[in-house]
Amino acid sequence: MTTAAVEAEQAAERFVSTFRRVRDEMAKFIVGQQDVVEHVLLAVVSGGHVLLEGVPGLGKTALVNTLAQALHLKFQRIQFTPDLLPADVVGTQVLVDRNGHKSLEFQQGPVFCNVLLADEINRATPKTQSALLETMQEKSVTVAGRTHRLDLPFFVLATQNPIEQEGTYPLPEAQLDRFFFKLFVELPGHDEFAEILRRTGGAKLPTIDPVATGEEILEMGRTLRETPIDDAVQDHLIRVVRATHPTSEDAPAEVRKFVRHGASPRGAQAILAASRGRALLAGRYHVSREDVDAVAAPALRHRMILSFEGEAEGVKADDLIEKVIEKVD
Amino acid sequence: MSANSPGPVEQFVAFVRRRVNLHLLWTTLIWTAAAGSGMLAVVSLFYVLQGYAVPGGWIASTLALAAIGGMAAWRWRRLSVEEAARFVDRFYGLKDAVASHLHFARAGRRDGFYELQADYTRRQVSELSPTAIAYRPPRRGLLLAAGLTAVALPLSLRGPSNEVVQRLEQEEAVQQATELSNKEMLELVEELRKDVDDPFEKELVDPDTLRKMVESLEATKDQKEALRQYAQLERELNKARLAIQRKQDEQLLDRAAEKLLEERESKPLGEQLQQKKYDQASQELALMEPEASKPISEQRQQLARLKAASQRMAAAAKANKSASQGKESKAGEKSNSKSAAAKNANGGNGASGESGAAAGEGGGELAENLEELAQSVQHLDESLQEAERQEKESGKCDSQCQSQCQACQNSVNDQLGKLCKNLTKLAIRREADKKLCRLCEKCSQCQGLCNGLCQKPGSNPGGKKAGWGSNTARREGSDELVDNGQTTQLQGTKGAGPSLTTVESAEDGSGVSNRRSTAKQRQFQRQFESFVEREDVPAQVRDGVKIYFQLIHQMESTPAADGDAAE
Repeated sequence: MTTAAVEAEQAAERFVSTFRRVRDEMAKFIVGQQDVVEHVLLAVVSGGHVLLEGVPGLGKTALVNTLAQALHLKFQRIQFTPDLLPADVVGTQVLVDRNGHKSLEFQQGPVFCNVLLADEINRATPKTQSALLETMQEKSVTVAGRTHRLDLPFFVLATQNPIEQEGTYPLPEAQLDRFFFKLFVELPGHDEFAEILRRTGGAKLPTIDPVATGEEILEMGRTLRETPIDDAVQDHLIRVVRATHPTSEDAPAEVRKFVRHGASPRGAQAILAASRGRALLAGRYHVSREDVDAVAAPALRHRMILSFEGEAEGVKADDLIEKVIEKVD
Repeated sequence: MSANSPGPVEQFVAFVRRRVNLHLLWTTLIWTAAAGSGMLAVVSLFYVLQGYAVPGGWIASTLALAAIGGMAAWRWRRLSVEEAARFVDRFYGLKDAVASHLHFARAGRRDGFYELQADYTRRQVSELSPTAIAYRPPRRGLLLAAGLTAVALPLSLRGPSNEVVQRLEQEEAVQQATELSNKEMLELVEELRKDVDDPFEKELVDPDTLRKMVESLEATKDQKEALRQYAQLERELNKARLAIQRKQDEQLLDRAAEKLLEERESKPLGEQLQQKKYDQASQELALMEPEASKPISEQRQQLARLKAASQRMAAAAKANKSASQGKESKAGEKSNSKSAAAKNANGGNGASGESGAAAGEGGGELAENLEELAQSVQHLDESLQEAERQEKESGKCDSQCQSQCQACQNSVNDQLGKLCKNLTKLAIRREADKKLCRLCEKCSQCQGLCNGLCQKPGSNPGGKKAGWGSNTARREGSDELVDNGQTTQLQGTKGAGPSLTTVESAEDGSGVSNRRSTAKQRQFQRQFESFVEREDVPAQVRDGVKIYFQLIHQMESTPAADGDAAE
């Protein structure tokens, strides 16, 4: 085996071990939700942001808090409300008097962290929501003509409530597209419920220790990008993404009928990165079609804009993605 | 291991590929058998439902087509290396490891993660066995192939039905019969062509046209078509015959013959005319021509025979003319009301109508000829009588009388020559008619041959084959007659059908009477009467005969008289 191969093997092993360490640490507090946790971690190591959707009380905020604790990273939380201003998010310039010399200094907002929890993001106004656009994509903040770089790794974990739609502002498509994954936090099962009560109902709550550093997360991201993908599998990926467009030849009839716009190339990038992570976690050194199909739904569901007919019919994006995969396979 | 030599993964894929392709071949063969049997069943059904046996060529080509289709399908379906790699991935759950490995190796990617991937794939493949890929024949395909083969084989090997065999045999027989008939017709026309020497006869018969008409006959399997073409030819021949025939003239000469037979001197001429030997009659008439070189008394004796004959013939012509005038006046009344219908009905027989008119004109010409001859002879006789008187009185006749005699002589010679010529032409016409009649008879024979083919013994489905009948003479029951398709009647256009179905209609008195017995009776009666009048019969015998006839007449009239008396 060549040196490069040995180094690659070691990197892959480190990836897997770090991933498992974080996951196991989170599992101390988070009961069940393995898929959500795994997808969140995949998004994190891929350098992406996650939108968590679920009814109140299912542990969305707790999941993010736990993740922040498990990672040795700076964590900030913003509770989005309608009166929240962009400056409250990204920071603002304040007049500072230093030894009689007054000057405007930039005061960093809560986005200057590694893990940002944007709780109930859809309750802020679009203006405030859009303040996150540059932050999420460029990982930088520009205030008063000056750009401030954020520390890496940086990722936003946002939550939103599918009910209580009054007084909310649905995220614009451009903002949605910035999210690597959109994950649904489902109601736990009976046994999981009991376990939650057991763990949180006592006098002592489980303690979460940081088990991974920011540097390790960044290295995981680099390892991920080296994982090979066959052209045929990549072709399959592209076909899946393209088939979400109603104008595509591969698009199934349902997509043609109920979808207004399909996923962007950013969605394909998300699938590719997540598939690679999934392959490494499975002990493989190549991406398979199964990996692509497995991560297609969380990566594409928020990128497919349903038509009026689709909205009226109550069509679910996940069902459409399933049809797309069936058709492409 | 060299760079070019296939690795274990490639070998594994190649092995699996061969194995799967073999399985695909078996599967394709099964489906090909099903498809071939299905096609064969359809083709066989198509033929069997019509009663035919399936031609061997069709069986072979159907099976060959299925085989070619099967091989093409197999070639299209068989796995390439890439497809085999994907098959391995799917079958063994390797999640694209083998396909990715092959692609990476082909692209020359071997460092780092690619090397790890190759090792991973090799490890995975080393634990696998290609024999795990078992062949599962398609059950539905097998059942379908077996079922369709069971249906198709008996159908394709089934022989033709009895009806079809008979039809084919009959078609073959019709073909042979028409070929033979056409050949015989052609030979007959050739003979006829050689026989026709006279230019006038040649003009009437027109053998070249006849030959063309016969050559246009085609050998055919279709009985109806064969009958149709012979009927058409016969119709054409009949038309030609009608154009040739001069029935009016013949009728007139028959009447003249009857008159001539009444007199002993003109009897030979009458017999010849009666027997339609017009050329001999013409010669006989030519012999009657008075010779001017002979003495007047001899001329008068010679002329007496011609005079008697010509007067009788002229009387017949007059009688004929008056009879035809009477009928014309009757027919004129009818024709006014039926003219339109007659036109339609005679659409096909237009030629016969025209020929009838032509014959009427011809009869008129001959009648005039006969009357003029009689007049000329009368004038000549009178001139000769005058000349004889002058000769007796003065020993010599004057020049005026001589010139008159000469003129009358010339006139008689002209009229006689004209009559002889007419008779000769009539004889030629009869000869030509006979020849065409032979052709017509041949046509009828051909039609009869074609008709007879479907009624030959053993061809009827109701009959039994040799050796299949009862061994006793007694029949227990009747066989049910099966429709063999020969029960249809030939429905042709009026006048275009065979001669057997046409009815010749003619106006009263214008045609030739077929009542031969009446004519014979009348002839017999006249023979007896002439016999009675003959001078060489002894008077006793004549009286005896007279008494006999008188007695007969008395016996015939007595019951009527008694009846009257009773009343």
